Amino acid sequence: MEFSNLQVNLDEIPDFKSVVLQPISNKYKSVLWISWLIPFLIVMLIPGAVFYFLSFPLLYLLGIYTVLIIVFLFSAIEIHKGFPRRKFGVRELDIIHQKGFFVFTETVVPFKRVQHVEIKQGPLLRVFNLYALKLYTAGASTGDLVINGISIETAQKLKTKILQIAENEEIITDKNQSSQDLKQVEEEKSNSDISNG
Amino acid sequence: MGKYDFSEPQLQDFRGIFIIFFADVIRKIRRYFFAIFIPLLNENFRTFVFNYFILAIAVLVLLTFGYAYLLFKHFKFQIKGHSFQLNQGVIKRSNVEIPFERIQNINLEQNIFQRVLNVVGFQVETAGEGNAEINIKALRREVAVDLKNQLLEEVKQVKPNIDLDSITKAEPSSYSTESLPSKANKLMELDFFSLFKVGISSNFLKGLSLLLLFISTLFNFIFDILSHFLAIDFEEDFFNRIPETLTFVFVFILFMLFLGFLITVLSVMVKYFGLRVLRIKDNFEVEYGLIKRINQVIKKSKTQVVEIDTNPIKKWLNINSLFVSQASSVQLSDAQKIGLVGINSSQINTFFEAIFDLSIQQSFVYLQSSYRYMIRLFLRQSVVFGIAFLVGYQFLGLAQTSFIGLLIILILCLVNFLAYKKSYVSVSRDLIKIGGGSINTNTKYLALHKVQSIYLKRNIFQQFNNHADLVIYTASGREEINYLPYSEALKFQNFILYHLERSNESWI
Repeated sequence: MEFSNLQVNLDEIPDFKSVVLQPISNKYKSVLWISWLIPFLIVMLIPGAVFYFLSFPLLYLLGIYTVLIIVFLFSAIEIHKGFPRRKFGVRELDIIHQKGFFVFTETVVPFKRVQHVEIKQGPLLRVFNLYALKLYTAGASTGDLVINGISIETAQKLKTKILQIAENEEIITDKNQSSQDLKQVEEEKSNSDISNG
Repeated sequence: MGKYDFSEPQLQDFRGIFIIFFADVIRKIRRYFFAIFIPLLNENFRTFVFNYFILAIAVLVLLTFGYAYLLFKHFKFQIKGHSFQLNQGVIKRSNVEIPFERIQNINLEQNIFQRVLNVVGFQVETAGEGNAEINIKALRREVAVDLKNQLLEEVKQVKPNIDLDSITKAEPSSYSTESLPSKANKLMELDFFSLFKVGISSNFLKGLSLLLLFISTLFNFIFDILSHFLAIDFEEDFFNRIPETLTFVFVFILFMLFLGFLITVLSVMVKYFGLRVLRIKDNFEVEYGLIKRINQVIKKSKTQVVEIDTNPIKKWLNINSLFVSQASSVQLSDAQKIGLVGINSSQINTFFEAIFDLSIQQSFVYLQSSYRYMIRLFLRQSVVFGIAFLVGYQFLGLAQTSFIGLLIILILCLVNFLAYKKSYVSVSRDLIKIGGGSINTNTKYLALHKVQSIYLKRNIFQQFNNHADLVIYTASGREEINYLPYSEALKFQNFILYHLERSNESWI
């Protein structure tokens, strides 16, 4: 596969894979395990309770439990093997994030495409004093990047860096009338994102 | 200052009551179709309860009309301060204020009811959302035009540099040609023969699946009713005889296919009737529809993805379909894309150059999907196939089902092979081209600098065999290219990021 006919020197193009990525906080592993454990306990009790009150063949009960155990087993493997892979990295112009075991994703979001940045903290994260950094782009909401389980210092450092670069970009592109369109779509998107949580 | 004063809260034209009423009635009929018509087929019901049934329907109609009247009374709009305001709702009250500088589009439309009652629908849109934010269902045409002009004046005052033509367009046209706005020229207009060509070349699987859905819900129902009326036990006589004649099954299937085909052709022709595309500087105005007349604007800056779809029949007839996705806050479904159907190659070139400032002939570097993509497709289809096989086994027996099953597998092999061959991603200096489709050939173009973010996705098997799915996000949704070789896909991701980050162009 030759890029040469596009008049680009391949050596000049930086490879995001060569960036050394940093891991997220280890405490986040506990968050993941707790959010696995609670549904696990609840869901495991239900078939047993139903069996106790309305009798149905033991075979069905065993069948249901087998399926449930398999499902929870897979999600446990995902947490245990997937956690070490949760890393992020910052380059001059974009941010890199990777995660997942059964499905491994490597996402890159250029800073200039970031509409706004939010530092969030749900109740579980609050217990461990961790935060989540959420980057909103103009793509669909599923394209928003979330880095979970970082300290407040890391989150604020990232936010500052991103906004700094995003503002510089605004100044460059803000010349024409279509920036009105831009602001409007940004507002629409941020309003719908806020209402969607 | 116009003839009408909109500074006080205004009601729409009284004919709006009927518009609201009819729309509500149609909605209710659609939803409760079976509940209304099924009881009528029962003989006991008809003799004893019919009168009360009619009475109940009459009461419901009256209530609907009363509610329509209340809605009408509570629907007030005005130009106030620096915005256009709307207060509506009886139970769920809502107040919408659109500041003048946020107005993106002002549309005048007429659906079939509005045309019959000689009123005009008035819509004011802001950026991002696909749905109009303020939608006034009934205004006299001169009132609507005056309101539009007053709003345009206000917009001009807050945004002096704005080109008003980009916000609004000519009034809803009849189907005869009209004098064009002075700065516009026509890109394309579908005559009836071209419309017919579009109809017969469209994807009739959609029509077929709609038909199958409809038939399957009616199937048992019809046989039940018929057996009551005709005192025949259909299960015994009919169902047991059918499997004996394989030819009957084939004839039946052929008939269904033909019906599905007919439905597709007709629905496409009704949807795109009178398609007209005008070019006004860098934007395009699109109009189409027989029952519901649609007016939309394609803005060069807002356009994210241009999709060209063709198939062997279209190629033979020298037409294509072109779909435009513009920036939106939600993922666009196919129905929300703006369609230019029946477009020919030279019109495509003109459109392409207007939107991208580049010729459609570019030098691209390609990356094909791996043959493993076929495996993924087969796995997905196997679920439905398995269920269908079991159903067929129940009704038709092993021999018949296996035969049909074999045919279907052969067809799937062909379709999946084509899907794998046609799946690719490619880049040029400024564009990304994504290939897809199986029987149809689908090509998507997007400007490289309009990418929002990119990621590579690998499931556990792909991590082993070194392949990945590439996902590209734009402001109109996501594009996914399946099963690319991992290291090459990485190069593409790096390339796109590199140029995107060094470009000074805006994505909107």
